[in-house]
Amino acid sequence: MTQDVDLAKEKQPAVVRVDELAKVYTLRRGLLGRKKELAHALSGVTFSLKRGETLGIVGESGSGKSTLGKTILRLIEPTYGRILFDGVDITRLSDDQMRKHRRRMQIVFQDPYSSLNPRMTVRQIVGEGLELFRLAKGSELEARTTEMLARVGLGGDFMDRYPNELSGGQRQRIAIARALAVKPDFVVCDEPTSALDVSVQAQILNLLSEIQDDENVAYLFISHDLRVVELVSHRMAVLYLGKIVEIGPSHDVAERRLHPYTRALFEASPEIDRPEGGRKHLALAGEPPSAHAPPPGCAFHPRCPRAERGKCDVETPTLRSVRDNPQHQVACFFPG
Amino acid sequence: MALLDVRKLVVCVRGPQGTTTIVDGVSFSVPEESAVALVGESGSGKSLTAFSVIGLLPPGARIDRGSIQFDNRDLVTLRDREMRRIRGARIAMVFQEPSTALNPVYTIGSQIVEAVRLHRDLSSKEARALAEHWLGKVGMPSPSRAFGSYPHELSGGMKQRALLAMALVAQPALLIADEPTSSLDRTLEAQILDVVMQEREARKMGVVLVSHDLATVAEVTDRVVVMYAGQVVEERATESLVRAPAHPYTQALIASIPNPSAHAARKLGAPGPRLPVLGGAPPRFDDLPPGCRFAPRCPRVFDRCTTERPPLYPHDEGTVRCFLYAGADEASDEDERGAA
Ligand SMILES: Nc1ncnc2c1ncn2[C@@H]1O[C@H](COP(=O)(O)OP(=O)(O)OP(=O)(O)O)[C@@H](O)[C@H]1O
Ligand SMILES: Nc1ncnc2c1ncn2[C@@H]1O[C@H](COP(=O)(O)OP(=O)(O)OP(=O)(O)O)[C@@H](O)[C@H]1O
Ligand SMILES: [Mg+2]
Ligand SMILES: [Mg+2]
Repeated sequence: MTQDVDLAKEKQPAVVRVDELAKVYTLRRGLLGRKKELAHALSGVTFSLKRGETLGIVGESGSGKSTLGKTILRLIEPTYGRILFDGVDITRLSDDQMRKHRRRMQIVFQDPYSSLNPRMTVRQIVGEGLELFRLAKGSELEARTTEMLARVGLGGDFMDRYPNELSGGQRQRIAIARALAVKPDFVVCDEPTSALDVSVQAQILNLLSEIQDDENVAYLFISHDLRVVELVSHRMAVLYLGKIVEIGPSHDVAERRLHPYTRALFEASPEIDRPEGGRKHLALAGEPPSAHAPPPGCAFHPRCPRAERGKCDVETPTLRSVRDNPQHQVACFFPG
Repeated sequence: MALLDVRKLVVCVRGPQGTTTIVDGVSFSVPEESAVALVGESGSGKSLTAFSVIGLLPPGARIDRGSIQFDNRDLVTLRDREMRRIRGARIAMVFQEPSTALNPVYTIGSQIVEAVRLHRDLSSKEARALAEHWLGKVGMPSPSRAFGSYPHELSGGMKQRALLAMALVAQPALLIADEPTSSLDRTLEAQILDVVMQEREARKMGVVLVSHDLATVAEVTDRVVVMYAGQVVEERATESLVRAPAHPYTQALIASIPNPSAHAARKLGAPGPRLPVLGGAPPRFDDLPPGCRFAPRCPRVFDRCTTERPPLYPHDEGTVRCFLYAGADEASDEDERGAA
């Protein structure tokens, strides 16, 4: 365990660090559940996140983004790899030992409806963590709950409502208020604004910024909206079939789009201010990838315009720094 | 005649303090083979409007007034049994939160097969083939595997696509899609919208697309209905609305589309970006302002707006609920104020 101690002593301690994280889901099929199938949802994911930093995660549907977020928080058990939270290896902590870290690591789930207890009122949902972790009680609890609701744009009249009496975007905002109320150090935000119209989205993104400025919280910000990710994150990682294929300062990744997959993702974005309104429709041709049977070599090669036979379908590229920018890494034999 | 014609729809919800009107006099129509977008502020009543059409309002909510013409019938007056026959077969819906619409204990495949066989006389083998065909069309990796998956084994975007497959498999005349692509990346979104639009052309299917994403809407719909606090505030052809939004709320909506190039790259420790926001919050439905519902937040508010309620005025082959467009014209007769 000496390595852990070393890590904890690093000059700029990372609040979260993951090493070679992998998740393989086992599915039981067949009559008696005897047939097993594997889904490689995540493999070899390594990165660290500093206090006050936002790492954006982008990638196709099914690429493993939610799995990554939940595995870091140990809501899903990793199959392989290590997770360090504030220098402490939490990979194998028992539920009991995890408890003391729970307040400091929060999540806003992708599907707010299934993450909100239908039998609890908004007041109870947002106040639960505050009470559980003994952060507030009585009138203070009431005040903090009201404040959090106001910050996500919901008035006091929402306090006694149940989740099914809210609109989709209102539920999403309740989930955000709940996560931020307990002053966490790290929050996984899984598509936190996907159900919000742009004006409410702007308000929520500003709130996340404010809280980060004030409290130095780190975010893992998962979103399919590249404009939003580029805007809010310091760094961005592009996930393809459970692997990071490009990672670096958001601005650089968005500008240079070194991995052909990154390029395709960006080119597929519609721009409302573009007069023709068009996106390059078939920017990404070919079969969508399956986590059940990842292709050999570079997983992207069957859809890649640059793929070379005998190379990309055989060898697996690893993440390498770009020559003029060590912070920017890409896993491709023919980047650029 | 339009495929769907919603007239002066009023939807109320029951709360501890009595009944509150939410959707307040909403009218719009969807001609055959056309796509209409419902956009607007979170909580403005888009989903309640959509649920009304398919007859699946949540408990506590009910249609108070208005009519919904479809297939030469008023859906508002139909009995449950008659509505069930239309639902799924003639009108299908993709729900905003997929997990609420999928049954966790059945596989995706058996749920789609059930949807097919409810309305079409197919053998189970044929139904399965059809289900897999549609799962493939909506971009599901390995459709036959997806067929045997349980909802919790799928990612958020996969669930959304499974629901879309389930809706399209019945070949409905009208598809209502409530944020069907909200958690899909752009490549998939494009693919799925293509599938929907092909269906629309091939079978003259009408589409109601509820979305908060104007960029998406701009690409695939013919007309846009903008809602604010339970009312329609603007209804126009998509292209002209996006190019020249008329209502100050629509203008604010378009101005809030995030634009990364307007912000510097982020530096660790430096303050995060601040986006321009529309100040304030939408009004409470049980405490509406005496004048225009948007007046308290409107950058172009003037005296009349705070005392009088604006009707819908004709504007650019559409309508706008704003006194700025009062002009000499009469208010559009489409309009009706609900509870005064
Ligand atoms: N509980 C589970 N059991 C089996 N397979 C799973 C489970 N959860 C996820 N998977 C599979 O793992 C892969 C990654 O899923 P994940 O939810 O992490 O994707 P995602 O990137 O969040 O996608 P989306 O953008 O659609 O939400 C998918 O192939 C999915 O089917
Ligand atoms: N059962 C209910 N009881 C009380 N209020 C309700 C109920 N159902 C919905 N509402 C309120 O009605 C309003 C409209 O809800 P609706 O779900 O139609 O909004 P929406 O426009 O779809 O919003 P979003 O974009 O956030 O999904 C919301 O303000 C919501 O809080
Ligand atoms: Mg996800
Ligand atoms: Mg809704």
